[in-house]
Amino acid sequence: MGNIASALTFQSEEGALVEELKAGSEEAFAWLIERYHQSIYSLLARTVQDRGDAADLAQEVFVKVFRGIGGFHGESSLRTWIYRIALREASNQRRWWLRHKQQEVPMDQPVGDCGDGTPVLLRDTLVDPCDSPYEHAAQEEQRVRVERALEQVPEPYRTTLILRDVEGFIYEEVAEMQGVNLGTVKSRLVRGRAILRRLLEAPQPSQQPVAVAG
Amino acid sequence: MNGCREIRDSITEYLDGRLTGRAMQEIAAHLNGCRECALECRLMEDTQRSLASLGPVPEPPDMLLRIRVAVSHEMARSHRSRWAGLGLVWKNTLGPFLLQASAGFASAVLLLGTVVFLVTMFTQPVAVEASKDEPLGKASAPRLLYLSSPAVGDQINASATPVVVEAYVNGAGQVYDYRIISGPTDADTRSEVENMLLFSVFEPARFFGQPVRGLAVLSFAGVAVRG
Repeated sequence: MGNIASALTFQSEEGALVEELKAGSEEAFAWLIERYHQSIYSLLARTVQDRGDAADLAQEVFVKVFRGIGGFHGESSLRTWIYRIALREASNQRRWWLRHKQQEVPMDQPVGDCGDGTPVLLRDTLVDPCDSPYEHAAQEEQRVRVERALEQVPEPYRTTLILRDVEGFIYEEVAEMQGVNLGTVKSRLVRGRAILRRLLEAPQPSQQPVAVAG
Repeated sequence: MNGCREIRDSITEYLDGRLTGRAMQEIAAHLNGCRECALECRLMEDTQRSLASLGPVPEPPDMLLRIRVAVSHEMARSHRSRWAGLGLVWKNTLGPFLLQASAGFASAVLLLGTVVFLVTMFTQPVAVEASKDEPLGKASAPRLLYLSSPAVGDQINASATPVVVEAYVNGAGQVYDYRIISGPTDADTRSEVENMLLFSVFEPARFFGQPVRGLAVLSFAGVAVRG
């Protein structure tokens, strides 16, 4: 009973938020951006071919949320709807990338610079600059290893793994976001986890690893 | 559910808690007794845990600001376009007819106002005074205005029944003849009745507003006041 009550309360609160968003309330949009900017950016960063595009895509996602909120009628939760927009943007970006930039991407490819001319490598973007290497060396190394392996898992398994195991969505939400049925979600998870496990068990290459667009 | 193959196919759902309680128990029981499947499950669990520990990807420091600016620009653009859209609708629909519609509306208001003004100014009904109303063609009977004589006489007072009298009234409102039609007709009573009629003042009968002779019926009764 408590869960039903909390679910109903949540739905009525979300309904009030949606109404404010439809009315163009700046406060409501500010709250929405604050709530979802990090998770949307993370999702995009892990699902697009070029992580440098994630920031632009994140902007575009929220602009599309603003444009499309008038057509949102509560068929799904607001969060699911926003993630669907993000996944669609990521998918479009990957298609564009495959058409125009299909090539091998070395992990040492520069993706920017530090401002003083020193190039920032792709492998460096996987490292959380806030953690001290002396205190979290082992954990950091493991995290980098998992990130690299995840980048090599082909789509659509990678997105399914991210939504389920990284973001923590339930099967039904993952199915709704990806526009597939529950059985497909299950099979993608089985396959995706198996691929990721093989990648993690493989010996670390000493040569330049290659991330294949897939 | 038996066989390692079926168990391993279900490990993903087992780890995600997607199976029924009975199925979960069966798998747990199998894992307790099968080393290979237990290892498979543990490796899969480690993979899941590795993913769950990743956390969010660090975003650029100005990411939040960039998103807010982008949405603000979109808001401003949509407000301008909304007003522009309304202006376009106005221009294409009501705008061309605005002058004619305004002129027509003003004319209608002016005409209606003039009509109402004229009606109220020249057609106010005159208040009717019913007391002075003299219906045309109707004759009115004589009407006793007042008795200027003293109180009713002793004979009439003593009578058990009222004395009903026909009084013939002339155009000047004076009684010129009478007849007792009910009650005592003795000499004393007749004397009292004559006395009262002599000093009575009548409104004469009228015919087309002109005073004429008429007939009035009067009833005299004694009034006894008991103290």
